Amino acid sequence: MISLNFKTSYFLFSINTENIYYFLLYFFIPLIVLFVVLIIFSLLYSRYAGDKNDDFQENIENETNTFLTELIFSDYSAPEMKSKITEFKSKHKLNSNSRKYILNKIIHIKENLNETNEHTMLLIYKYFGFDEISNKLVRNRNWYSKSEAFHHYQNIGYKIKKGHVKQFLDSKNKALRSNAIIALISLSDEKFDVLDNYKYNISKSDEVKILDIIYRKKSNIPKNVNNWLNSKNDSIVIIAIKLIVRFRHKQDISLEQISYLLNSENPAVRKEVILAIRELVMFEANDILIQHFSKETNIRNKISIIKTLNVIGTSENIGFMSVLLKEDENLELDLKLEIVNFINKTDASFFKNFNFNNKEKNTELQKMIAHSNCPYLN
Amino acid sequence: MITLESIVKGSEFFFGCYSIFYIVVYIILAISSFNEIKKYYINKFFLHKDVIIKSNNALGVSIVAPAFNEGLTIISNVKSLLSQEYPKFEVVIVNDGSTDDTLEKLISEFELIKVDFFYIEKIKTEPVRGHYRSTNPIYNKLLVVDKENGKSKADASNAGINSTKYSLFHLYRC
Repeated sequence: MISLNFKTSYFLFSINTENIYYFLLYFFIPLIVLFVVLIIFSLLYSRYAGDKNDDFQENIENETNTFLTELIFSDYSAPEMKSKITEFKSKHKLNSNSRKYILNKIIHIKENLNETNEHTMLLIYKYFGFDEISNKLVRNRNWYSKSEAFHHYQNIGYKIKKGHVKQFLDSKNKALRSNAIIALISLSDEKFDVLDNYKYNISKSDEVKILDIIYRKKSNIPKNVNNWLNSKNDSIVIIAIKLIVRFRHKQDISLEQISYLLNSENPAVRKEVILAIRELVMFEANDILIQHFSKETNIRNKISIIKTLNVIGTSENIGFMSVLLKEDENLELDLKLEIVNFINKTDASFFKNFNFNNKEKNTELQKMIAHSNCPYLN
Repeated sequence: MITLESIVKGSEFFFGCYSIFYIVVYIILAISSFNEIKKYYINKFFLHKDVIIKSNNALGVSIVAPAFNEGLTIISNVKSLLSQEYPKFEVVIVNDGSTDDTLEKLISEFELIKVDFFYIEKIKTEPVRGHYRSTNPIYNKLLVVDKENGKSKADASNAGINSTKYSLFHLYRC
């Protein structure tokens, strides 16, 4: 107890105003000032170095543009190309910025010019020594350096490097894993079989990237899309459905499969099936959707079902909708609005003879009909 | 006298510690924001804007912007918001009971008319007077909500959120 009191009093003694003042005066404030001065000097230096390098960089960029155009559009043999590039490299002392510029330029040309010869681009990439840079980046500890290397392989079409990328498919780093799968899909053939056994969740942005790669390959629908529909990974199922819609391959998804997928526990999968029925205008799935409606627990999916029925459904569905409207008084307003919109669009005269017993509900209904009839809202 | 001295010393001690704590917190925030910005730029490198712009699978986003007495800048702000490259979006401007000519300017510039919008008040707000849409198809992504002043930006934002078409929204200050 005595020692505790002593410690407490010592602590209070040592952290008093005077000590804090000296701490700020001789340690903290000089440290902050030093830090700020260092930042200012580093900014000034980088600006000075940047300005100094600008002329050189501009010159290199102009030379590179002319040189690459000549290489790509001339019929040089591989040894000729190699000697031309060696000559260019010895003539200009390339620094990291100019190397980065040349690499990005090659990738940019490869991405944007349809007529470029893949083999020529790969040779240019190799003869400039960029494969060494990419290999170094793969060996780097940082995930973004590795990802940058994948990006090079992917855009240059360096298929032989698939093995280097594959080992990162099970990486603990989500971003690295995501960049690896994108690169592998881009480097794989038209079957995209790397997706067959992929077990991780695919983010929305990766989904967009994967679909973009598959569309850009201008191939037909991947042959294993049927396997993907039965995948245990919901992300793969969603991609498969999106591909079926994009390639208009109605025949790849049967009514049995639709019923099966509508029973999925994942609402995103169910939503994708409902959207696919709408996009592919599958009239034959009308009854399945009506049966599924009562089982659906997600309100957004319910609204999607009504919107889909609006596209594929017939006037026979009005009976089903009117029962929903009349029997369920606690129907969510979003859903109710969609049902009113459906009936109103299918049979404009329906609401002339339709009334609720409740006056408030009737006023609400009239507002919904007005919303549905407004040409600027739909 | 001793008590007064100890109060002065105590408050000096408190403000000394508080200042150090304040500076340290801001240094930590600066470092973490630097890291986050770095992370953002790295991720941006791997997701090309063109891929998103071209995609049919981009998610819809509603931009909600409350405006109170913004007559001077509202037109340029709305035009700027409408000139997004993102493929799937809507702009919801909430006129929060402005006493200047904010709404009138919007109506004349964007050729707005009052529409029979079925407003679902999922979040309680001050009464909404009406919704406006443009008769000009160029501005078909614009929705203007006119409401009574709620004396807070949050109330106006909530009225905008209640009127959005997409489930993802971004709040913006006009």
